[in-house]
Amino acid sequence: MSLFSQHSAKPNALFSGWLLPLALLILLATALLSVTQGPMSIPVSDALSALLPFNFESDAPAHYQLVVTGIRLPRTLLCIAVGAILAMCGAVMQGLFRNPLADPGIIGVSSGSAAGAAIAIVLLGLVNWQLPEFISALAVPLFAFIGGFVTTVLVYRLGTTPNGTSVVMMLLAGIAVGALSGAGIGLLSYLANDQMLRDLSLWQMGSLAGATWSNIVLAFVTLAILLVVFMRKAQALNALLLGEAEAGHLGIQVQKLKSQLIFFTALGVGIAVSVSGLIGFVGLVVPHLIRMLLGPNHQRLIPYSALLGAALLLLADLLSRLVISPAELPVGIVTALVGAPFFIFLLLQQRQRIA
Amino acid sequence: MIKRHLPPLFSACLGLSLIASTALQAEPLKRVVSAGANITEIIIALDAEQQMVAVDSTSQLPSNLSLPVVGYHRQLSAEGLLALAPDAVIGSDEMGPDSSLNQLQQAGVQIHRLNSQSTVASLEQRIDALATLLGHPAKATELHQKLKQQLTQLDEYSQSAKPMNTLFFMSHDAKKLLTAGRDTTANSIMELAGAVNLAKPHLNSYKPLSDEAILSMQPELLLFSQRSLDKLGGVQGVLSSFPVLAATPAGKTKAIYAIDGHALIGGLGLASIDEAVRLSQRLQ
Repeated sequence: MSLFSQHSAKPNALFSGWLLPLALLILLATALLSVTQGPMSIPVSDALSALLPFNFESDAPAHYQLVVTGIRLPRTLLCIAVGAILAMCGAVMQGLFRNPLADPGIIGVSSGSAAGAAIAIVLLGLVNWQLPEFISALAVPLFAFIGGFVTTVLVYRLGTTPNGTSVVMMLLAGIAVGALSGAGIGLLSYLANDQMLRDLSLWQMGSLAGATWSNIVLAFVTLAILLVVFMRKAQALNALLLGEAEAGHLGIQVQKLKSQLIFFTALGVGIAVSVSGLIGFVGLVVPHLIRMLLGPNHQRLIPYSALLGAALLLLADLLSRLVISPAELPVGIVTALVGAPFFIFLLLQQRQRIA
Repeated sequence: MIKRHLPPLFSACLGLSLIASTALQAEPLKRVVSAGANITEIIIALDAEQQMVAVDSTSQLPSNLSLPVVGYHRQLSAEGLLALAPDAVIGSDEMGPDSSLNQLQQAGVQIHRLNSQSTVASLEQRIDALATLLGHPAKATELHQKLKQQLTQLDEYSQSAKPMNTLFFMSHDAKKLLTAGRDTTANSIMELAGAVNLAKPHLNSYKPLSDEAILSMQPELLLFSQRSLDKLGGVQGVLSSFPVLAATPAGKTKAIYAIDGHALIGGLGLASIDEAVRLSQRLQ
């Protein structure tokens, strides 16, 4: 362990002076951009004054206040929480699998959540129970969360033998469970009517438009919990980079560490998905960029991934609002458009390293 | 938490605002966003297109009119719409999401949800509601008269002619056919025209039927959307792409017609009635 802390101490000292302020500044700048820019052109000064708790006399139209604090602000906050959660979970997942291409999607969380959402949209729609409105509004996020969680547990169980968890087995189980979820979604889309199909495909593209204050609180509480848990396990994750047996020799309970981290990443991704639908590639791209810039030390990888993930999702969401205004692009499309080429770039790099 | 309890209250308010607006509408709306194919169609038929500032992505506009498109009617963006400074957003009960509509309403934009059922009565209600909101009562009377005339005509036709056993298909390529079942505008058009939709007891919405099922139903008339028929290469193309259709009574007599696709989108509208009349004339 001492070896690791020594190793990480040097670059820490080098960066700690300006790195954190810089990252916070980037986040603040993107957040301000997200609050001040949108399809409705509001002068920046008016947008900023709308955010102030007191209202000094201004001749700005009354609806500016609503647009800034009622529409843009909740969205900005949800973006920050979801982006940070996804990027952090991606970083932990990559460390856990010792595979830079790992992504919460590959162990089946996303496809499981999508199947859960499909059940809520199609089956509950077909049964046509007269549920109270606030329950039916909760059905899709709740089922998505349950779906994501169940698949993660299933994949983990399939990948775990008395001898430990095999990464390869888990990846294969992830593929199999993903295929099963896909078949379930296919079956449900066959039963669905046109409206349900549209709902389902829109949900799968992800959007932060449905930001409500209860969603925001939920997402930030999750973010705080994950940040604490992941930071406490950061050293252990560093040790795991050496290999499971080696980490075990360093006194780390590898099996326990893995099940805990998988539980918390599933929790994080499940909640992120339930409040915003499927938003891919943030969890893959962001930890990578950070690793390229700052190296693989999880003590820095995790918090900086969170900061950059938030900033990146803010920018993606801003794009999604502006590109085809007055309509809106699902943000999952924007992140995929940026993320997929980056993924290919990573693959090519890996290939060169192998060759 | 409060937000979750809002929707019921919210829809109650919407209902009230609709009643209030139809009863007390003093000034016709000047800037309206139309979020539905059906609604846009009626607004244009009322000659009120100057009062429209934007439409949703399902709406069809005449070629000489170009308006901003606000996206899919279930995925409206509150801020995007507000940027257009509308007086009102008019859509169906499928319009959403509620969070956006709620925000629009807080900003003083009226939200009107009109009945979207696939019945003639619902179409007539929509015409009346829009005529009141936009202030075109005379044009509405004209539309009602035309509609009544068409319906009488349809009635006469279907009484005089023998009901024709029919199937309606959509096809995106030469491999797969989707058949219109219950709860489709195609079904309503067939019934208005006095045809029998053989798939109605078996399917809802658009689903594939097996070849054997198609054969055993013995359709005497096959309908396609104009787009599908063009894509497949006309009647001859259909018969050569789908041998099973060629083996039905309709295939043998080449009784294959096209329905204008615009009449099929977004529920029963004015164009659907026109198509029903056209179809019933061909059935004579």
